[in-house]
Amino acid sequence: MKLTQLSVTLVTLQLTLLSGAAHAAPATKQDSAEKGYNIAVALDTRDAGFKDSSATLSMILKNGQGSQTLRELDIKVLENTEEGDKSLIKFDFPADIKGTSLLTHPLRASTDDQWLFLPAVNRTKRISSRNKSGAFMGSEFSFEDMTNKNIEDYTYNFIATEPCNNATADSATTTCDVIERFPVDKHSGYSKQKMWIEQADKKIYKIEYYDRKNTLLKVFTATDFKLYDNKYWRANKVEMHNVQTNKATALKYRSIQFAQGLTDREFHRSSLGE
Amino acid sequence: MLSSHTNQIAIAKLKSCAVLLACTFSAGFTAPVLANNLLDNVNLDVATTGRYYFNAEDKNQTVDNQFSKGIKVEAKFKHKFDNTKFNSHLFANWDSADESRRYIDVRKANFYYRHNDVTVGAGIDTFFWGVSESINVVNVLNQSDIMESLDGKVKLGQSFISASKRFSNGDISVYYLPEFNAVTFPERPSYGLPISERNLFENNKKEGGFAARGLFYFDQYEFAISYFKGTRRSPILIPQPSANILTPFYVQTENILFDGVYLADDFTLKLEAKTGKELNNGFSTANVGIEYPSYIFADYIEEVTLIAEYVFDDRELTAETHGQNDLFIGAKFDFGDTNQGRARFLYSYDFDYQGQYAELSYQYRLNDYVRVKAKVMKVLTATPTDQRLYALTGEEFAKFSLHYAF
Repeated sequence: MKLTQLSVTLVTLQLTLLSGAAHAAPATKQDSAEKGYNIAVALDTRDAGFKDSSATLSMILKNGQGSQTLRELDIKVLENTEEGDKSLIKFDFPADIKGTSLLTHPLRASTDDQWLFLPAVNRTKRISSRNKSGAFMGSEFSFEDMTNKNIEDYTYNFIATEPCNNATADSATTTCDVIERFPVDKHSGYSKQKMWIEQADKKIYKIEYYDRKNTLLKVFTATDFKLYDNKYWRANKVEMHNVQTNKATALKYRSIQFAQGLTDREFHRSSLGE
Repeated sequence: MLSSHTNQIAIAKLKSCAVLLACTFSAGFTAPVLANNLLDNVNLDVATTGRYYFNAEDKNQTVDNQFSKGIKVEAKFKHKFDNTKFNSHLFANWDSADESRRYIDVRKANFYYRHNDVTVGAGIDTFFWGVSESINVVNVLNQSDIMESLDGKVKLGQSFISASKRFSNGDISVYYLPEFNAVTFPERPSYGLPISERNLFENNKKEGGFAARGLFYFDQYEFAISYFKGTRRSPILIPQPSANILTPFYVQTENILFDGVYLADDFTLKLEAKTGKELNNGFSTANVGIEYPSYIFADYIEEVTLIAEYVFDDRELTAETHGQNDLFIGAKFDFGDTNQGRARFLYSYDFDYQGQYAELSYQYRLNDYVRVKAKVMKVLTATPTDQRLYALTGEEFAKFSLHYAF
């Protein structure tokens, strides 16, 4: 089963299947793991049947001293219930990196296939799993942040139910499930991620990323949610803030479209250089 | 003035471009709407350049151009109509001191038409085959632009007709390459003796050639098997003692090529290999390497990638590069800041002749439009028997460019 996490939140935040009353704290560690897993599954299935999505957005890189640089990019996602949703991220600005693309084919049983196309040298480079904790195009997002995740990529733990405390206008009255998830991949840059998932619509409001030393590294927040096609919730503004360096990367969505008829052809490795 | 040889090539390529553009506009599109869309797909990169040779005079003592300045312009255009994609990339360089460096090259002017899993293409393109960092022994289709980069990594445009078929885990392609372009040598770095403007060809054959390639990937493996037959792009420089010059001699070559990577848990293994026949002799050459990304300096440098590659070529004096029994070690530094600062260091050691070579390059983004690049190369030691490397001794240089891209 797929679990859309960040690119994720980048592209696939959406309508929930669950609604509900606040969850009571689980009695045992096993209950806690099972409950965390169930919430992750509900999050994973919330977008089933979306077919494909295309988004154009701005990426604003903030260096901590107040200066900013801009990237413009497109993100396309193709639903793939067998192995996980395929994604293609393509830069459009600045001009010297225009065409730089990251293609990801998630795999349930092994490490995802991931390729980076560099137009300056006309070269497609396979990304190894060890590279995936590296920064993506100078941003606070890593390569692993930019891929759609599967349920099997983590183990889970339910922590609590609490007010969402999100900047979104109605968040004062909304309730979030807080779960932890622990990456299975030993090359992940994280020891764990702590997620705030709104109960009613399964919107991801916040994720805390902890580094391999188990120290808080980055905080992801999502705001300005909008309902698309009367089915899919998407955050129009997200930000990844590195609390250790005070650098941040914000994403602002300009358009999101669904079911545009994308096929595997657009997500083929050979399409990268075209 | 542009150098005559490269200018002729550029004119021929520009004619190809004109034909392609004429085809584009004769398709009956509404001009104003199209113009807006087309302009969105045009990008320019304008750079001022500087080059400084550590020795005032070249080895031939024929030119004295220790410092030169110049302008470099690259224009790119890309557009898609339904199943047809158009690409063009025009490169122009002007250098104040080196006439050979005043040239235009059409890197790309092509279209690709796709129907289901089959794609056909024609025009001019710049292809890349290979996986290595130091020397790409399998990147054989395009002529090298050695005025831009001595290591052969920057390529001139190559005319082509191609057809390819995709499948779930790869693709196969065939190419016909109608034209052959000879190397244009700059005045500096010189190669020990002046290079003749007259080229020699084995059996008077001057052929772009034929090629085929199958690329496959599964699990942690990705590899390609290729075939090429045509005129070898890299010439043998034959000394002509009577005239005291070097004459480029282009031989016919037929190659079977392999390039692939294996993504191990902690590192990546890479192999490029080529075997074939030239001048009635069999030969083989390969580049085998390992790449290891490290994050132990992550507090200061986002990513450090360590590289070790070994290149051998049993053609010895007729080898295509100076890597005939050489070890390359290097590192790439990605500073991970918003300015995308990156540095690359490469050092080579020749086990046969004990020649040593080093280069360091750096680039940094000043803002969304402006970036700087710099590179310095140095032959540390070389003996006359190591002809290709020895030729560059005393010709070491540093270069710098300031780019504005929009």
